[in-house]
Amino acid sequence: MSQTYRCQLKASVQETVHIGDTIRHRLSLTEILPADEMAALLRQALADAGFRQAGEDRWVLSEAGAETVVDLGEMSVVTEASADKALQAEATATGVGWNRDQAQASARQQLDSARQATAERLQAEGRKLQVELSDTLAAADAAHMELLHIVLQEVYAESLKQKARQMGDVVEVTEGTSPSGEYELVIKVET
Amino acid sequence: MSDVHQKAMRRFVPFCQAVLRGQQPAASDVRLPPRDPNAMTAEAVAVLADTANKAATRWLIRELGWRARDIADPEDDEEVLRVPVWDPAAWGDLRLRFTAETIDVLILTWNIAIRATSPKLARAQRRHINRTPQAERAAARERLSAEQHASRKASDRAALGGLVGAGNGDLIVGHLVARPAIGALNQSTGPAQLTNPLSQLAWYDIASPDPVQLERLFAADMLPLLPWIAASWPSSWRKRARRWERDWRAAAAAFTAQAALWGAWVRLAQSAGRPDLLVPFAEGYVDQLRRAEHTRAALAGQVQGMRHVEQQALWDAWAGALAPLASIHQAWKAARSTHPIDRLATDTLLLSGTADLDLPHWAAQATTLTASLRGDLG
Repeated sequence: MSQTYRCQLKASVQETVHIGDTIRHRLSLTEILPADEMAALLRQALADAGFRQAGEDRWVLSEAGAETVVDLGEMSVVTEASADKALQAEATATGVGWNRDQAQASARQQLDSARQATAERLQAEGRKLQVELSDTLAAADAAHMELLHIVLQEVYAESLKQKARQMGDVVEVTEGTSPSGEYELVIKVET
Repeated sequence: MSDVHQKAMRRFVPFCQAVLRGQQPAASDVRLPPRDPNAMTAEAVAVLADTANKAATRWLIRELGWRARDIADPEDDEEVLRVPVWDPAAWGDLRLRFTAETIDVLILTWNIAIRATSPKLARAQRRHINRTPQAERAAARERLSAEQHASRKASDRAALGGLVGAGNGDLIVGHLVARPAIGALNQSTGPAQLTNPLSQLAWYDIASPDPVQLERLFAADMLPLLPWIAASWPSSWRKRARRWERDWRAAAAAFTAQAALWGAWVRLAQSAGRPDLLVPFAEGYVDQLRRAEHTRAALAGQVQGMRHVEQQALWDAWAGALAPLASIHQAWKAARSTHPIDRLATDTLLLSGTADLDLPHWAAQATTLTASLRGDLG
């Protein structure tokens, strides 16, 4: 009576994937006041809104899994998120043969295929993580841009007020929101 | 003339006639050497010269269409004349000059159209399956010959790209043969480069711009021909745009090529003092902007799920392609701000050519679209 041999092999497959994405905006300030005065107002408004200064004219906000950098030198706003993820999975293979060597050889061969399939599965998982990160980035960018819109609105409002003061005596300043939800600023000046 | 050349010439002249008339030519088989006086009889040259001249003139007329033309009065640079196309004044200076380059273009096109796989090689490859020593030797010989053929074809292709359009007629013939040459090239050696400036602008989405070649377009001998040539471009661009909208990679390439090619034309038209030559481009932009919403939705659907940084590269390329419109609008505003009495005929032609387009509206739309594509803040 003949006897078959079974051999089971296991291997750990590791993949380190780097995921990252960037959303870039261009910042342009309408010059109500001279450019350096507008920039000074923007710096102040950014600091008030919770941006921290990181280097000369670079202001950073890290929230909601992403970092937004306002670069006043380049007049750009970049929201970025990145991560290195170590992914691990086990590949298993069983070989059968009429003797031990045959069973081991068969198991090794199958393990190679299993390893490759596992590596491909981990790469697919990496791509899925990339999509998740891009979604997180988009949500964070939307939130940060909403904040920046408020910051810019403050800068423009303050610029207009200063400009009005330069034009003459400010008699009345009315700030509010229109029925359609838009910010309204009315300044009456006597010259 | 050798037997081989005689045999080739019997087919070469009909091949050139077919190519120049826009018909499907028969496949060529024997390679002809360019710039070899022994390869061509005087009769063949005379037939080719006549065919090239007629084909180029017929093409110019077809591009403009049989309709009345508004032209700058040659005797008064402030007057615009409306003339029927058969009026000699409408033709302007349509003189075409041909050099030996036209013959070279046709010979190179013929050589490029030689089939990549000869029936001999195909037979040898079939025999190779039997693996007899003789069949294997024959197949090896044929493979070597095929490799040499491919290498010669590559050099012909490079030579075709290196031709500069010595005469304005050469430039037109180069454009007329580009389509069949490209068809043959694409089959044998992959996507082709268009080096002829007329072809680059007519099929802008597959061209990589060559500033030197584009500058050739604005040489003095080309200026009378350009309104004829450019008249049909907007419809050609429209057809191509429908194609690249379905493939975001092709769209990105088209945007990049458009920014360079249309931008170069706009700059050259300005420096040549010919704002009237901007009309086809204004039409092209308005057509693109009318479809912008549809184009954006089609492309956004394709790039959904990709990294934002990759998506942004596509949108930035589109924004770049829109940039030359600002210069066209500037030229339009400058023409408009001049009092009609003082207006040059070329300005009047720009204004009349764009009268139905509502250029200020579309220029504003382009600015809004650009800001939105770039994600501008502020």
